Amino acid sequence: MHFWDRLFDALGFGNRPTPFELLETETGEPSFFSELKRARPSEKKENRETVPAGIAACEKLVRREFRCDINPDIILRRFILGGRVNALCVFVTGMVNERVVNDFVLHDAMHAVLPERTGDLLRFALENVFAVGDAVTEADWARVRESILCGKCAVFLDGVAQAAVLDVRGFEHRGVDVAQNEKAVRGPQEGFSENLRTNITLLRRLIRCEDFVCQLRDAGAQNNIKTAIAYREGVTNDTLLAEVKKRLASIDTNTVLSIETIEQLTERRKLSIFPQILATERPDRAAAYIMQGYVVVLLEGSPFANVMPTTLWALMSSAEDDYMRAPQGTLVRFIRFMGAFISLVLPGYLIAITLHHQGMLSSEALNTIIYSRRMVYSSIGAEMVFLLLVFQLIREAGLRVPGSIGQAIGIIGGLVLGQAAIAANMASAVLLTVVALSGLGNFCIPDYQMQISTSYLRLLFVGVAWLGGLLAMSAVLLMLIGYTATVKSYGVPFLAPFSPKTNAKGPLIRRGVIRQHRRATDYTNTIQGK
Amino acid sequence: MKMLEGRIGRQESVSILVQAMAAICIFSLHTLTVYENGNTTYIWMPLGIALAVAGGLAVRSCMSRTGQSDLIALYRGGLGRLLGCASLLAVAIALLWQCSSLFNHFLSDLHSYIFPTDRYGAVIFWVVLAVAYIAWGGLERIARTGKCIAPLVGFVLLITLFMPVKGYRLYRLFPFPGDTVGAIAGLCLRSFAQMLPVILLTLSLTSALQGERMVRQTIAIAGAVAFVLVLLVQLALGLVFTAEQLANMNMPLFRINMNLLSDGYYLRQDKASVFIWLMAAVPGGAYLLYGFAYLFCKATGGENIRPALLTGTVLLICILLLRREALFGLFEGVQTWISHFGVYLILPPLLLACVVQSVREKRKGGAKQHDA
Repeated sequence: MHFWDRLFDALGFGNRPTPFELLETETGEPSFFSELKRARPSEKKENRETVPAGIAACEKLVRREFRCDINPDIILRRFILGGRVNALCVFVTGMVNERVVNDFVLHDAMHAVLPERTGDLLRFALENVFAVGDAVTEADWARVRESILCGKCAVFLDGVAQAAVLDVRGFEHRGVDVAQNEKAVRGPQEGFSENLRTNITLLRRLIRCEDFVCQLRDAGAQNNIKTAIAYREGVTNDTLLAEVKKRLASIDTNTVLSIETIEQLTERRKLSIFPQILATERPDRAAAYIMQGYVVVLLEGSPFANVMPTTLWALMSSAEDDYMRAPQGTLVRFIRFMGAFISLVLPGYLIAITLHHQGMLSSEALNTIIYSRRMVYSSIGAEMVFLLLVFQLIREAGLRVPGSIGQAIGIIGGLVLGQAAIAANMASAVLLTVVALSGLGNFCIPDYQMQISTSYLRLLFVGVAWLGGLLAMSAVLLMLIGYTATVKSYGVPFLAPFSPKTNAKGPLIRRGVIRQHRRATDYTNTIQGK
Repeated sequence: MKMLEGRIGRQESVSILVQAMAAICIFSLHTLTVYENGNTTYIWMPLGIALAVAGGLAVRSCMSRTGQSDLIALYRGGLGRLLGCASLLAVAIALLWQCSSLFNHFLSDLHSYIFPTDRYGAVIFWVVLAVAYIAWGGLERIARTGKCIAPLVGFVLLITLFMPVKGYRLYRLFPFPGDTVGAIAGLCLRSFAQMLPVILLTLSLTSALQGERMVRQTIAIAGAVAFVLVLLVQLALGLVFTAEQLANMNMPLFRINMNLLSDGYYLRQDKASVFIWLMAAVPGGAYLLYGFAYLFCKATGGENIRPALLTGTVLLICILLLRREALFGLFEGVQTWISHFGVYLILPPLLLACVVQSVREKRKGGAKQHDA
């Protein structure tokens, strides 16, 4: 090869494109400021296609819709019902319990004895042949398709313009395990799993009331995932229920894979620092809220339940609070609120009194701070911000690193890094202690989103304390209280039942004695008499 | 919703009214004039509150009898549209002036006591920011913030009044006001005039307070609580400081513990209590600012309260800055004029409206009887 050919080859001038290359211009030239357009409420086509009567037409339809040429897990099983009628069984392998399909659908169908005149053949088969608990007939092709995709099996009979949809679901899923993120020393230990049916069952085991309703509906996403709305019919406020349903019905998006997506799509204040829905992993907690007239939303594939409405006090309480006796429960709640307050205010308070209000410190305290910071080369505000950010780094790293290494990261970050930072004059012992205390206080908050919010709000307080001392901190604290006072969760003020006061003696800081009562809590305005 | 009235409950409305009234009484005293004949604040201040509450309840009763839902309807019905609007504007301006007086004293002393090296504008910035933000959210935010703060303020106030109890001396209340009844009556009327705009504002918020009954209860309960609170605070101050000391002191509540506590942790944390008082004053000030904007909109027919709130905030900042920095003498003159004559701008229209409506109602009742 010539020298130039070798050079061009080395520089890649003569390279042909690889067989697969994703070009940004595949769908046309993007404009300069292009962004993904937000979904507008789509006009859902009303697909009124019905199940074809002939078995060949059914098979053709199924093969086309499910792309059976490239989807090997869609099984189309032809058989003869009762030795007389051509039939087709369609299911998704891996989603069904194949033993039930084999033994109670195919075997029973093949060995069925059909009388001379059966009338409605499909109805006859459902009543006399298929020994499956949940079995319905369906004429709407869209529903049949949806059922197959959900793990049910559809049986088509020749000459019948309907399908038998049999619930033979049996896909692999994680079993009922301990709630990982809401541990309790006393009380039930079960947690939700990713299977919607299992989660509903867990609730039904705890709420054995005839008015307990679990409405299943589409989540509104193109991945056709199911969501369940659980409540007590006749107890839950109708307006609240209508609002929940309205917001869920307004979801029209590409993908919903977790309940957190539903939470974000249905919140009114999407940029609020406080969550407006309580997420819980515990069936007992969800059941307690349902009994009190709340609405709980579950999603297939998500081990969390959304409880609405919620308040600050609910987000600050844990399931265990109700399982302890009143004095212990009150003490624990007090510690928790104190921890949250310390987490929020302590770093900023230290900055404020050190920079602006030294007269408030005793000479010993002032000397301690000065002595501990004598070699630190950054300002106290910068040092505090640095330490808080490092704390956040250690926290995130500990969460993301898998297994036992995660614990080691915490130890390394906390001990080694802290000690090294002091030795390197990057931090002082006093501030490190304050940051550690603040971090511990942060972990006292039960709700994960509240923890995150608090950890970043304390940065704000450090900033304003740096600028304006206790005056600025008081002003911002007031503004934060004012902001919290106007947040509403599904129409219920965030600080209820403290402000506004309601008739319900809801859980605040003091955990009152549990007394016998038959009425549900009323700041959700439950229907009277229940 | 453009008027941001929301709906608030009894505890919230009582909290915010108590905070507004107590803050005006305790934090906007002109100590030189108030203590010149001895210390009688523990008499005329609570009496002024009681008078204002009684007047407010009487007006409310008149409104009930004459079928007027709130103060705006009473003024419009009794005085006509033009005079009614002018009267509402007078009340609105009185509320704004009270808000500025409240923060003028407070921030001056905060600046001198805690932030002597900082610029006064910086001190104003943080406080007015909080006041404006809370007022911006409407009555729900104001009232709920006040309710949240109330337990903390009450607790700190109790501690502040309880700690110097060993230093209370009855002789400091001398001279007793035996020969200054006229002066006490004058000061009592002045206190009444100070409370009146706040009471009238509460009477205008019938729909927000969820009805006439709730308005009556709010005024009665808040009046009783403010009466006791102001009485306790002024009595405590009188038992700790003599009248001569108080006359030369701004914000004596700040210093109530200083004479008695030796240098120690609690004395240093005395400064922290200043910020608790600030947190108590801010919702009260926000209520006054909101009241200005609300009544201004009602008087002028504005539908959205926020432009008026913004205007009020800017005016407040201007007054605070000018009062301190540039036109001190002018504003002191205005303050003196308002404290002496301001009540004559507010009280006569109110009385006239009540009388006119009562007479009309009587005539209507007489005509109905005649027809029957």
